[in-house]
Amino acid sequence: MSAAVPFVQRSLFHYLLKLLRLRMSITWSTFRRSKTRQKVSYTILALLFIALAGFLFWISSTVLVALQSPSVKEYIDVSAVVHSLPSMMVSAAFVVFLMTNFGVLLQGLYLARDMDFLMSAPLPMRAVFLSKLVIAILPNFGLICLFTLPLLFGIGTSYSYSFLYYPAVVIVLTAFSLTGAGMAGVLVMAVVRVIPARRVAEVLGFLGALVSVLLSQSGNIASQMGVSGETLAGGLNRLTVLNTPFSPLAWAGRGLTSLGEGNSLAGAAWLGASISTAVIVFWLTLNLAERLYYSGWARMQGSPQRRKNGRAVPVSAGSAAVPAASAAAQQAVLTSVAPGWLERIFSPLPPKMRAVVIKDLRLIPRDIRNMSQLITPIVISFVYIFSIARSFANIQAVSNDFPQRMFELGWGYLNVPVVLFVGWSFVINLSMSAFSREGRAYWLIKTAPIPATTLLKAKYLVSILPSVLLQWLLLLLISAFQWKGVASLIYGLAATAFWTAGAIGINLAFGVVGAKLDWDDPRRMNRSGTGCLGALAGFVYLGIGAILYFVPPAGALALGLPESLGHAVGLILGGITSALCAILPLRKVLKRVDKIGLD
Amino acid sequence: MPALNTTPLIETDHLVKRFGEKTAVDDVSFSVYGGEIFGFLGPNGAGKTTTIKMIVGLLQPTSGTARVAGFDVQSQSLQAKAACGFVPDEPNLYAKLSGRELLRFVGDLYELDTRQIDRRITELLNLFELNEASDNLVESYSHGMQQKTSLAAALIHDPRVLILDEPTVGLDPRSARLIKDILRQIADRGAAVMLSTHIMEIAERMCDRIGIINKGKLVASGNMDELRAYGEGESSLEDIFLQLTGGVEEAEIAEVLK
Repeated sequence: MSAAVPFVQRSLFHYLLKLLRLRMSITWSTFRRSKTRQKVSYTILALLFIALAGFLFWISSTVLVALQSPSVKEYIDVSAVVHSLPSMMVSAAFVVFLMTNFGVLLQGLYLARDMDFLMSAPLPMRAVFLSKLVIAILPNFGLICLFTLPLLFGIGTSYSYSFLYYPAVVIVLTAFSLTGAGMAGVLVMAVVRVIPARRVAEVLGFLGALVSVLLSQSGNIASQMGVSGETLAGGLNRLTVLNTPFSPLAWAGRGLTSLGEGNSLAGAAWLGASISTAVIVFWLTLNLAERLYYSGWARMQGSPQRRKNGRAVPVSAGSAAVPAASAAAQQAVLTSVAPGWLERIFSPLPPKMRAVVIKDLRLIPRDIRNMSQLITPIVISFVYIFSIARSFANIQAVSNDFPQRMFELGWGYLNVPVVLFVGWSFVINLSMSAFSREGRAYWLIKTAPIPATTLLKAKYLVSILPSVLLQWLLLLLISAFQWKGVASLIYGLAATAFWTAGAIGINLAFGVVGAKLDWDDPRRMNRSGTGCLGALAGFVYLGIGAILYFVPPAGALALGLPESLGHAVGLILGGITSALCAILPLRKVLKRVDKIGLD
Repeated sequence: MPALNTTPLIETDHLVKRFGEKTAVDDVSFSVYGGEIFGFLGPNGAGKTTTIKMIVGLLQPTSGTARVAGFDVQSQSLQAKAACGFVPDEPNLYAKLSGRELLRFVGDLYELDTRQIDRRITELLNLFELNEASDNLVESYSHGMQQKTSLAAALIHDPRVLILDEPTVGLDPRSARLIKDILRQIADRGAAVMLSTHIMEIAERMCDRIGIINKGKLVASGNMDELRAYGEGESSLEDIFLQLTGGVEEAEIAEVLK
């Protein structure tokens, strides 16, 4: 055997550069090999970001210059606020770094597929850790700089700050982003020691979805909760506590302002203290994280998640090596687990269809990533119910007046489109990804003797059951607050069920065409092209359905015709449209079901 | 060894698969009879997995046909699939189902009745020593456990044809031995077993017949005696394999590097 290549220990920087260079070459290679369309999209996106940064810089400079003019100062003097802006922005950027880097570092440090390779290579632990840290925070750093740098530079130009202010801003943001990342890294490692990394990622995705939905509904929620403008303003004013003299983040802001105003000594002192603190904290977190990393990684490798399901009855050992159903075994009655409620409910279904339905209804709630996608319609439902519950008393007070009563009845039918909208958002997520959700495990279905029609029917059932149940629940709750009679309720239940049947036909068909099984990130489960087209088609159907089901009964009321006539017309027109939408698209794609999963 | 059936349970006829310009499988024809274990050998990228995927219906051939239990995999796919059990090289299973739920799901797909499914699940969990973990989610299983679950899923309907792609990868010696014993038993009961492997010792000791594929072409097929005729005097399967797949030079280089 020839002599082994001698190992030469090099500096940390050497290994760090090597790892960063590797990542850069992977990124460049990915870009180079991407389709021309993607390259153009990336380039346009980059140009848009630059344009946005330029716009933010221009707008902040212009506004701040305008605010300094004597005529404006007569009405409002914001000098004090502007002086505390750097402190607030550095603090805000740090908090955002800390929060966003948690998820990014969790992915980079624990869920990335290159960890086995890196951990076994002759690389210093610190170099691996640092490279992961830098690579993980770069996109967030870029995004935060996109918003903070133009504003901070805008302050600089509008107040004619010294040139030293500008590099200092960049240094401060870099230092605190690294500190934030280091702290987030330690936090990740601490959490991963208690909860498996994959579960943390799932929960994080769910919380992210929940927060974004709540933010999107914040206006509604605030108005329902009776939050006034003054309360909001008071809340915002409380943010100035970030400019506390005890916070190193505030020292950085003060240092930047002093440096900008030409007070170099004070600026250097504040910035020196602030950056030194950041460096010390970063160094401490780096050391702590390194120690935790090995043990955390080993723990993750060695302690798979356990979860008990069902009630197993111990079985006698000794029947090993009996792979086939022997005559004796066929006589034996071995019932290991009692059938669950899902098995009991769906027992009338044919076995193949039952298998897929039960499997999907088990997997969807268990995989919290699916729940992240379904959270939007659920939150909207609750907000809507809450708003109706609050307005219930007001409606009752005037309901005996005839024109008002007419208006209310018509208004009551507006619940149907709202419920349809909630159902639509639910249906999109359930049926569009019905096949893609199978992922790489689809081979189990693909190699089994299950006809395409059976599979499609099963997927249809899996999509329609929860959607209709949610919509019916919503309608029943609305009816509890706005009782419009049995006929209206039954009409609403029938209309939503019919409409959903059609919506699922459309979305499921697009789900078949755009099925993608080789995804790692559930957010990229569907092909973007078919996903967009499906959403568009579904939205058009939503509008048509809302008109067909809502206009006839509301119109009958307005014209003084019997309500039952409106119901009948609505159900006939809407029902025919829904039936066509439920059947035709699926017939069109039936043959494509057999193509799914063919490499 | 039991007498072989005279009708083939796996049959490929001039099977071809092209990916663009590249021909992954080039005119491959062979038969596997009931009661025998057929080993499918070849270097990396030779076309083993592609051939297997065409036989189990995961890949559409460019031309040629594959038949399983007498049924054309393309035109009579449901009948062919009903007779076949498949174990892929990567056990991608539904991570959020428990082992027991997964086996019940597969049992339902093959239309076994509920009591039969329960009995088979109990037998197979016992056989593969998965009882304790049977109610844990598959995501908590080790690679070997997932591989065994995958094999249990393939066996639940007692298939007449069993096709395995690298079945012993990631298994401990005890589990590997168990699988070898099971495959022999299945073949002895009249089923056709086809497996791809890189491990010569497994192929030589377990398989009744061996096919060697290289660069998409089936370069040799037969029992050990017949293969020796291909191997120009070489006596071990490893030497025959290297002789037929052009690996002799590499073996010599490896010898020099020792």
